Amino acid sequence: MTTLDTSAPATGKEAARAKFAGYFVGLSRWKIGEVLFWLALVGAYFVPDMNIILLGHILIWGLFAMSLDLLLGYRGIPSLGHAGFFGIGAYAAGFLGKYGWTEPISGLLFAMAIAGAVGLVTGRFVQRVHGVALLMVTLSLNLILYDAVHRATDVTGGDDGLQGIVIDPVLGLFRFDIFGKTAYWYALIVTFLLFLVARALVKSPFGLSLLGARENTRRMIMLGAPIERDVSFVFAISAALAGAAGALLTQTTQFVAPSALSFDRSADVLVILIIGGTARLYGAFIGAIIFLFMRDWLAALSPVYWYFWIGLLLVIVVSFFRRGVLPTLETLLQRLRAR
Amino acid sequence: MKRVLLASIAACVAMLPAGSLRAQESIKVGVLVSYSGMTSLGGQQTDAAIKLFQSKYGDAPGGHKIELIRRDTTGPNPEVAKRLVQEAVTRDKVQILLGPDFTPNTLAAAPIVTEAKVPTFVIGAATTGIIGEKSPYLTRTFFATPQLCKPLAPYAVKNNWKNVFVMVADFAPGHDCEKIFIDALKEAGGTLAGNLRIPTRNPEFSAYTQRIKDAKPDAVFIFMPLGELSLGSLRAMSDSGLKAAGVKIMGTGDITDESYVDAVGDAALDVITTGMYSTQHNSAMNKEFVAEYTKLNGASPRMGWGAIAAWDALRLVYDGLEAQKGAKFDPDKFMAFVRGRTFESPRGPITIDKGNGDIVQNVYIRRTEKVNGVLQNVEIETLANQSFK
Repeated sequence: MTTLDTSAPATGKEAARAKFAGYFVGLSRWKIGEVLFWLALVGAYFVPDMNIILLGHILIWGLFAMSLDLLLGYRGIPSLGHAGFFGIGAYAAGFLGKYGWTEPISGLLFAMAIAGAVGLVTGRFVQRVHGVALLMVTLSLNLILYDAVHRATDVTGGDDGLQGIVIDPVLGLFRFDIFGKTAYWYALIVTFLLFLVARALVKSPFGLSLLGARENTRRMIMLGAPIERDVSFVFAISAALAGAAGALLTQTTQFVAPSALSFDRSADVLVILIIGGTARLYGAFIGAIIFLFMRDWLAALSPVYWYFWIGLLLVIVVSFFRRGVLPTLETLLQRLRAR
Repeated sequence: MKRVLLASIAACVAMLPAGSLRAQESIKVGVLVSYSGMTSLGGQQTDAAIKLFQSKYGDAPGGHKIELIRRDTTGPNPEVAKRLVQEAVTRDKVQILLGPDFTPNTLAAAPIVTEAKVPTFVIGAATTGIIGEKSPYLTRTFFATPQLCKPLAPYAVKNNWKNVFVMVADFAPGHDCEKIFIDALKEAGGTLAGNLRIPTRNPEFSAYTQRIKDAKPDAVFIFMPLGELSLGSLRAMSDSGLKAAGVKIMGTGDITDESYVDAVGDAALDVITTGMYSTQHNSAMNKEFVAEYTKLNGASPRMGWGAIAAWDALRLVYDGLEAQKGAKFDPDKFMAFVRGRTFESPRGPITIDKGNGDIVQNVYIRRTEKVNGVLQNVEIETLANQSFK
């Protein structure tokens, strides 16, 4: 990034480059906890009596929340309509499966491309909008899309969902079974690969410039950073990842209905991200694990009154973990170590 | 660095499975209905009916101890419903299912129950084209849309209300019902005064009632989903003076459902509806059913269609298990037993179609009247053995 080069001391460009390269290498070094996190997800499959169907859904929600994290956590752009991109991916994968393109991996890539393209256009559209107005715009885009899908019953099946989606076995070998085994591995591998992409992005100079723009947009403009172009780019990436999550859901369940792009989903994903903690990437997954396991557990325990308990839980999380579970625990740990 | 370590520990802890009990030699019956949100009334009634049924007939038909697994589908939410069905079948080893409710949920669940061979009772979805088509393991104790949408067309013509205005909610079941009614109306020799589709969110009825007034119909046929739209539409008919001007108000039983007809108040009086069940149904069995239900669950909330659908599903479950006394549960034999079965229900005689698995039942034309000061759907005409097509 030119921004960084110009701010480098003038002791020779080569040396400066090496220094900054070193900075980013350090930033992107894998930490033991990260490795353990992913190993735990692999290991979870082998735990007897583990609910891998739910865990697969959690991964999809985590991926979806991570896509929002790029936008909200790293760039500070709130979106109340992120389910729109999720739904575009979900329906794109659904239509492919319905009309004969049943190969899952290319279907997933296609769904990502479509969602990403829409994200790019949306990004261009909203790059000059800020704050509450931005919430309104993203929210209305979501609602318009929902209503369109909901009403176009001939094309989308409306409320009843898209019927007749067929998805081939992954790589021609692994059929999506009712025990959710293939679905889990497929979701885990795709999520991990896309996580690597997101991780590389936020730990790159581009990621740093996003953070800069989040903290002080004017200053970044003065430094010559292409703020608006960056916004539409990160919007596109975020939308593509959300679309991938949607496509994963469609492919693993072989079903898609308008609830894939309902406003509720946009709100839930925001809640998940905020519970977990923003600008962490892992916060999205931790949030999804907490939120969905709690929801499932409470709903099984008390099918009638579980909404009360989940509400209480959210209040507790928000009051004791102000910035989300992950950042709060992190600070706590640092304090303990300082003693 | 430690933060992610913590994250992984949290991940491990969170993954500890919620304890599930397993008893031997029992039959697990999954109950997947809406217990929360706007549609929670259905879940409450299902539970109430199950409670009454078990208090009356025990919990071990044919020596198979019934173990209930209840889960909340949260409303029309196929993603959740599909996962719950999948979990119920693969983890809880459920062998019979009541629900999931709502058409999208049922459609999403159909491939799983087929693959796992789980007899499934549809107790809350009315759309045609599910039962008998999506899975051989689906059967229904609710009703099929044509059963309620068709009969009022010939009834109106017979009563000389020949020019009928049709008003439906703008969603898939509404479109279905609209088509069925209009076709039946033309066949019976009536004329269509006009038709309207009302948005399902926050509609303002006054503009619509004005259009109905301008069309000068003899009667209005209404189809709305259970809940506030039904309430709102009936009030609008009354407030706009349409009813006072002598226009007959008709509709499917949803608009005067017992669970909220009290909230509609006098606007519901004299409304003509079709229904599969009214608590007023005149039979000894129903009188006993209503009395016992009220005794066990209290007078409020009032019983509606959720309860009767669950009750009849349980009747079939119990009879089917009784027939397999002492043997290991066989889903195919169970389905063969259920299909073609005829029995007396509190709503009247019902038959599960042998070829299709869908329900054949009496449909009643009802008038909303005050009985002992309480609004009730009084059955005035019986249409015997109505087909699901």
